[in-house]
Amino acid sequence: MAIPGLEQLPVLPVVIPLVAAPLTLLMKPGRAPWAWATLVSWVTFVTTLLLLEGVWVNGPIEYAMGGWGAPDGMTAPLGITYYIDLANALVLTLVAGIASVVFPYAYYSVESEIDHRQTPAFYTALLICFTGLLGVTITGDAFNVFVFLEISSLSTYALVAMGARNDRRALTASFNYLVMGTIGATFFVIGIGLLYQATGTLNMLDLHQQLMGQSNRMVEAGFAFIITGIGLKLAMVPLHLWLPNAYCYAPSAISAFLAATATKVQVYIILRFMFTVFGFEFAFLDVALNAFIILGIAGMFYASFVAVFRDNVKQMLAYSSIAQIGYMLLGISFGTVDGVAASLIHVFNHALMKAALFMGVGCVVLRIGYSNFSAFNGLAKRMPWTAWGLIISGLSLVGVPLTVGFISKWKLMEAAFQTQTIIPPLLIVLLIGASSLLAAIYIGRLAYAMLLQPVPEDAEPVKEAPHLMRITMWIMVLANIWFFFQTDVTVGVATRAAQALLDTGLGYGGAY
Amino acid sequence: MTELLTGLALNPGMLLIAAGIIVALLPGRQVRAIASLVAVGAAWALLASYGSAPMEAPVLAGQGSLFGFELTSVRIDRLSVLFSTLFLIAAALNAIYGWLHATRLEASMGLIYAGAAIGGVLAGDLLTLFIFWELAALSSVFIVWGGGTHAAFKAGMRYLVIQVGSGMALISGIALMAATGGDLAFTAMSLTDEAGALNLPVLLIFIAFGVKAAFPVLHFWLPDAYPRASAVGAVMLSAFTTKMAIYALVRGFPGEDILMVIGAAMAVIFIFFGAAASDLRRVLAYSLNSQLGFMVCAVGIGSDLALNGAVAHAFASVIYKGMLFMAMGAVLTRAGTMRAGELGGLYRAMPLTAVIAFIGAMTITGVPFFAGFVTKSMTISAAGYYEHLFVWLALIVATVGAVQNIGVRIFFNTFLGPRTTAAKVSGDAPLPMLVAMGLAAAICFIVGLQPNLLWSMLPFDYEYHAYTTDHLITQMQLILFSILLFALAQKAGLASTPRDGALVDIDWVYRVPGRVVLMGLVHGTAAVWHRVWWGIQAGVKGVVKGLYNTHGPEGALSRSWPVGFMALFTALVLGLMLIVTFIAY
Amino acid sequence: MDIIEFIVGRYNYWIFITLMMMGLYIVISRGNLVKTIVGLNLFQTSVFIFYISIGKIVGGTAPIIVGNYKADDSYGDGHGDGYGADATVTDHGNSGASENLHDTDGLDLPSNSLSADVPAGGEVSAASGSLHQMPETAADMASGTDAAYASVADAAAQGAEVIYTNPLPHVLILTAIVVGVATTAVGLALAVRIREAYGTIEEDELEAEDHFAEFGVPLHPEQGQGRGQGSQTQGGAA
Repeated sequence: MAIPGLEQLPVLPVVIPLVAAPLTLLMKPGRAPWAWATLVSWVTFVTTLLLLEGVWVNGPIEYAMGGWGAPDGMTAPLGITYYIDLANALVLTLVAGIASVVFPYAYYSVESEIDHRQTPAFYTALLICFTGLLGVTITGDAFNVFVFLEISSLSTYALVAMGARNDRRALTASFNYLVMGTIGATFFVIGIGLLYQATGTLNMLDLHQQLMGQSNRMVEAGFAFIITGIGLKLAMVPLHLWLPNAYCYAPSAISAFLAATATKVQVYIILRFMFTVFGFEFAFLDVALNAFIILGIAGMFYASFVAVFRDNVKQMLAYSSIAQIGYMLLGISFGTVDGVAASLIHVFNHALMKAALFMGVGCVVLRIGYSNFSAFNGLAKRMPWTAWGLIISGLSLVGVPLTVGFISKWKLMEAAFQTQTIIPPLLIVLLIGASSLLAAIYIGRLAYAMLLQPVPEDAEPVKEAPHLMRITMWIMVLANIWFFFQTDVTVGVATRAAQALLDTGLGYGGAY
Repeated sequence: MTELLTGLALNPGMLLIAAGIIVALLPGRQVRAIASLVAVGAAWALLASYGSAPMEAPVLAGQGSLFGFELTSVRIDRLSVLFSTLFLIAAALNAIYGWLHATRLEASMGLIYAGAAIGGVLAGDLLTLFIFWELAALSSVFIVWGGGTHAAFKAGMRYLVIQVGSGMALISGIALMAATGGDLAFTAMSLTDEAGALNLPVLLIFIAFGVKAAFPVLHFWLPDAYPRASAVGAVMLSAFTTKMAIYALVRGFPGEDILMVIGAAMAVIFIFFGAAASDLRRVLAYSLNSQLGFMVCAVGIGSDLALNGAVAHAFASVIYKGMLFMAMGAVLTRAGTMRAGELGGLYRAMPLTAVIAFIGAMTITGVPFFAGFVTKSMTISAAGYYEHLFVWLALIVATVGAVQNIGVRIFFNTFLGPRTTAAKVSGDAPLPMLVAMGLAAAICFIVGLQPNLLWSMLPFDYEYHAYTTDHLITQMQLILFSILLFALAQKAGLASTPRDGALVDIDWVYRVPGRVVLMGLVHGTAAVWHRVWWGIQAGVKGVVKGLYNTHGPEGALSRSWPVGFMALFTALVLGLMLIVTFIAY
Repeated sequence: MDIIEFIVGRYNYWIFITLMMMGLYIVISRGNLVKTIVGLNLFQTSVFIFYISIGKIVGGTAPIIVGNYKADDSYGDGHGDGYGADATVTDHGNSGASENLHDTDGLDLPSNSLSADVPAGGEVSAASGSLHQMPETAADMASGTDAAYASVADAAAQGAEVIYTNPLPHVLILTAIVVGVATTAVGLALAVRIREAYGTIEEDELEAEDHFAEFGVPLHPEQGQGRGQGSQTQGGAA
């Protein structure tokens, strides 16, 4: 441990929100649950920062739950262990960081979009979802991943459904999400079962040891089930159909939180399973990587085209998320340290951009009431802070220099040139560029509406969003610029994290 | 981090960009204009504090690193200083010109745009160049949109796509260069390596430059977008993007042979397009494109004289093209139209603007004692000296064409000629516009009369005398020949009164013996081009329609599906996944 | 004969697959939301059977310590990592056994290892492989089970050589059952809310209403406007 007296640190990011959640339910509706959730998110964020620092300085941390560690003479632990290396420390910090900004933001938005009496339940569900996402990321136990995945998913269904006060389609969206999410999780758990049957272990690192040299039908089937299951939760392109409606009709704060965290955590799981659990000695990994190239590129274009034509900005951003997941898959598919690092960097950067964008849209929904393009006409005059925040984070999405989007794109291109795949690197790079062009079109459309369209004549005058929302949104917007200059945090950590991920594939605990 | 940030802050371009953001927050057009002028002054002071340096020993400043790449945000040598100064002059003129008419967005984005152009010119490495390259693209699109019409929106979208596309090509090339271990310093590059094989990263960069320099085929954004901007916006647009690209070509590809061919083609082709256009600012845009051909050609020749010529011509071109756009903007402000057929006889109502347009026409056609003469003759001489006959011919033809397009279409028909209804305008251009135009005209005069002032700033030392007998005679012959043709046509009653339509007022030359071939060419190229353009447009429209049908809100690929369908799809994907992994085994 | 053995010998897996397919089919084909939930539940339940099958050992007993095991020496009994599936087995082949089973390519695996390893009763050496080491026929199995019970009692009496069923998958599936129940509950709650908001839980009708809310035209024009107008008023933001 980096800091004495904090031996139990690794468990805190999960335990704190988990314990705090039911307490929230007991509070009086209104300010209290919100303040409590915000406080919890901040404390959690601090613990994750400490963890990240500890891992950065001292290498990976293993924490055996309840002291059920490996007995003498055995390498594998008996119970559930948390295994934290740089890859999940980064994702943990990201999730907690986003939460610590989105939770304070949520207050006004939630007050206007959700029944006042439901606010304690809302924040309870939000904290549980938060717990689940952190748990999925932190755990080193394959079955535990499933449990936390479902913890976060179940609360997400409820949270999405709470958008029904604004638009009842949130209910059907949530229902579809529930059915699809459950199918995905079940596939995942079948895959875990198959792996368990083949190896008799659930610890990820030990799974890798036991799987070595075991290239048989059972392991293959397990792989296929796991990748399909996570692919579904990840909204990998042919399996993305649940996502647009869920993000679109969810309450604004939830859209911001989910878009910035949920899919990012899934990307991490896919990385963990592909490289830590399976590793390169499996021939099917190459096949899957090749499939990822094609699916990634297909997603980049297909979803961007849809986004260009969308009339609802929230939906446009949701489709844009699907396209951005394509970039992440593309980075993974290179199968190199650079590629995986590019993917992790994009996970981080995309979270920043999408959080800022969805928060901006949330401000508009709060003041104007809906998120169609017509609500954005002349927004620069009506709500200048919100409008400019949206423009800057939109530019980041396009990948303009001086914003983090550029770092992502550059790293991805660089990685592409250093890899030999089924598609020539130059073509991949040009496709990345072309896809950014599509992003430029839909962001340009938004910018045009906000800056140059006249305010509708019959529009009632609106105030700028509350200070709290504006400040939190601008924290995210400025983060988009800050992390362009401060690349040590993203590029430095992500590169080492990618190295660690690919190295764990080479032996038990053989990572940084 | 701070290293990179302070490094960038040392760039005068960043100063203007920061000022652009501040200007966006200021109330009142005049306050914004004054603030812009102050910012330009401050940027000039910062630039002047670096002094100048010879080409061989540039002064570098503002180093920083971005994920392991060393960036140099300021490189001072005579080339970059000249271009930066030029852009600062243009920014100042723009601010004055837009004193009363620039909207908040135009004032702010205009400054950012100028700052990006200056930053790009001063950039010492390709990554920094890209940063400003992209900023210039993004800020200028708002200026196009500033036109305010739906046509401007659509043209702006096309402009955005092609400009960002140029940025993509640039960054792809840089990434490839970095991946192959190349140095990212921005110095002269070669399209082919020693073995004669095509150098891919450099080719990508070349295409990126080519888009912004409006090479033929890659040019369509220019005449598409510029005429759709507002009066003020078009003046801003005419100054920076293309000249930044010319700078990049001078820096990156001096003496690249292919540029001679491209440049010559540009110089000639766009004359014909210009002749066929009806919107007067589109005529100017095509003429601008043709003038770019001169510079590209000179870069291709690559001798010290030619490069000096390219730079000098870029300098003059920014001033006089800006001046012509200003004059047309003034006409647009007063008369409310830019259609050639609706304008005529404006000299009574707008005498001062008419004088400015006249000076602009004199300059662009290369009349002695105007800037255009001294700068154009350098390029033409360079082509002649180095025995590039076809290039020389092309440049001569282009000069004649400029007389026709600008002298006749812009000046004669608009300000002289019979009066039209639209010409009943309320008065001459507003005072700030006149001041800006007057200053630009003064610069044209000064450079024309005292070319040594410009000479001393040019990047390469080369003894050159503009006012030699043969230069004077060549140039005057060309101009007189063109004017004679026009006068004959007038006398013979062949000059038509301007009519509305796509090909107004060119049929006056139609019947002049000897020009039939030329006009055939005009119609031919115009017709072919229109055919091609319509074809492209129809193709693009078809593709977009197809995309809309499938990807649009009601399209099969984007509608909300029932959950059963999703589940079925998942099952299919799982099956596929299983099969694929089994096959792999 | 081999084929029959292959099929019958894995009857629990067949049940798992059949249930899973039924569940998935119901989800795919049924438009009624409650039926969808039922199908989903069936789908999840099938996984429970799969997990239980993994852990079950013929003749194995619940992991309760019998005999002279010391209470404090108990870290294998239930929190095992899979190795410690049964306390007495030293040559541990959980993975080995399953590998044997699945190594043989294709569907024609009448699995030599299977018939070779048929337990004669509660023999310790053969017990490690869980259910896979199944008797050839059901009849045999019954007798085998009987023998196993006898042997458990026997072993209990001696305080040694007890065969335990691997408890870990069972524990896991307890968690999964909880998740399944929660999913069903949330799903049904959503169905109730959807019924309140739309007045129907038939998916095609929901789809038609959402379509009308989004585009302002009926999905199927012949269905008329009545429902569509309803959705317009309730449709909210759009």
